Amino acid sequence: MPALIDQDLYSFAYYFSPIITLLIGAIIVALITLVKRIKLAKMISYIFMLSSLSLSFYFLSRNVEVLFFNNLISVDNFSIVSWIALIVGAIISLAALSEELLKREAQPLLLLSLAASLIVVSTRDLILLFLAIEASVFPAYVLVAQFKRDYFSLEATIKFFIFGVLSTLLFAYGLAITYGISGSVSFLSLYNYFEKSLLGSEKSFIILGILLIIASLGIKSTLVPLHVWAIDAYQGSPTSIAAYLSSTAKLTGIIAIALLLSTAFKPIFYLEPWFRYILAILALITMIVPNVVALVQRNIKRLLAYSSVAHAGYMALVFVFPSETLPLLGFYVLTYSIAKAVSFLVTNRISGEGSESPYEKLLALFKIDPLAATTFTVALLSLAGIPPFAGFMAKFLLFLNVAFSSILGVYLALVALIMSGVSVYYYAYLIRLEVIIEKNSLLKSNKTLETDIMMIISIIALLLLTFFPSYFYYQKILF
Amino acid sequence: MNAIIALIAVLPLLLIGIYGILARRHLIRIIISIEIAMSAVILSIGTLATVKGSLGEVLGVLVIIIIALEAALGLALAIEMDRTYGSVDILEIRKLKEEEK
Repeated sequence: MPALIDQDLYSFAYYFSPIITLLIGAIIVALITLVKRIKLAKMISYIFMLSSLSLSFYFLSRNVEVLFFNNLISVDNFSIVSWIALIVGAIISLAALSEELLKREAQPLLLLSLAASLIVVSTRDLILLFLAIEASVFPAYVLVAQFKRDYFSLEATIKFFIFGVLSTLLFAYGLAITYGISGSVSFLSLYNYFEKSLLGSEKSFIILGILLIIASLGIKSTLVPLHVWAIDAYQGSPTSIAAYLSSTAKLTGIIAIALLLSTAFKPIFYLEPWFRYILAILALITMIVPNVVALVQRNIKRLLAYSSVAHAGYMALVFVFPSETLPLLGFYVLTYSIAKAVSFLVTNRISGEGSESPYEKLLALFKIDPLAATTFTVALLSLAGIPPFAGFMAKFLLFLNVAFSSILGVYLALVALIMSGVSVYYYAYLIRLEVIIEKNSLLKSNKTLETDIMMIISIIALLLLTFFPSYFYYQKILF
Repeated sequence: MNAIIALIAVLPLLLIGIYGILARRHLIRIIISIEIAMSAVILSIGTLATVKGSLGEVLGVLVIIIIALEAALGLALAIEMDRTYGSVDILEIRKLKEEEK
């Protein structure tokens, strides 16, 4: 691969500037929060996040491809597109943060967690991947626990924490197995190791290791048997933090699995053909279960949580056919990140940071807060995959490519299509509620300028992105 | 082959830890079970380092740091839980489910 291999610290600082910007921002914002200048701190967080985003766009336009430190870190098309999707989710969650959360340490923690998430998608080494995932999830624990005297928030934290710790444990043992058998941790040497023919016992152990690592990341990305924590955690945590968890934190896990399966663990697909079927079953139940359970929900945050688990299922189709469908994941995660974070932003605007968000809060939203209602409609239609919006194009391209990859793909795409149809029911139910006019509505919308701006930008983005999917394809992974 | 022995030998300790995480109700006991399971992993990585080279020693130290952080956060959570709920029994925290009805 003709990539620029560079060991120079200055050029590392240049190409890694989106992450370094966020880290510097975290320190500065923490100091400003200390002296209680909340508005200023929020403005500075915006500046740092937006500059990080624009740096990522600049690198995307330059087609940067660099490997650093003996294949430890790579800045390529894959990393940069993932950076954009992750930063966008965090910016929308930042807009949703309420006054109470701003007084605490929410902003610096958000920046730190985001920076670690960006490292996750650009690393090409298992040890750094492990450390970066931990570094991104520890601030998230504290973010969920911000209202620690609230029953629901504490419950969400404890469930999130126990599953997070279990995930760490599985990853550590998987890492120990992978390292113990192959003797290396960088993706390149693992790839070369898997290409050789393996002995029987070594082979079964290495597959156990890979499955443990995927299970660990599956807890982070809420694949179905491992999704039970997510529903309660998203509902119990403050709504703005739920926006962060369901967009950035979750996509970190999904992108990490896709990264591993298309670089280090890629040879496993022809080494062990049944491995593909395990992933196919995982994707299948992750698509079916949450879509069916979501039909009977009566709480907006819980419904959005189930919908995000269902989307993990659609994205898990990429794990089944990584070599054919990986490019489309980049566009999918970007549209999902915007639509999901914005739907939580609207939920925050109408029902606050608490866990109580019954469907009745949506009644007559179109009359009271037309902008929020329009944004919610657009975001839900995009999540459901209705044509003019970007979510449609993402789903369409993904399902089409899955169907063209093999006969197994045809069946999976068919199930995905049917489940998308099922999901339209509960999205449309919410949209219908917004139009019903009731005199004594519960609704009190707390309008602020920044959420207004964020919503308008998101509507425009969800409309425009439909026409430019190919800009956000994962074109190349260096390792 | 030596590597496989190092991985299998720690399995009892690991399974004791995982059993504790899944079966115990007391939050502090769960944290202790996590520590047990993680020490099995460290033991295995440390043994592997003698077979596969010094990278394992680095990995072992890094894993120790991560568990120390987890224990600190878990104990902080246990204190908060005791203050808010008046107990550290994790089966008592099911308000989110009840609210749904």
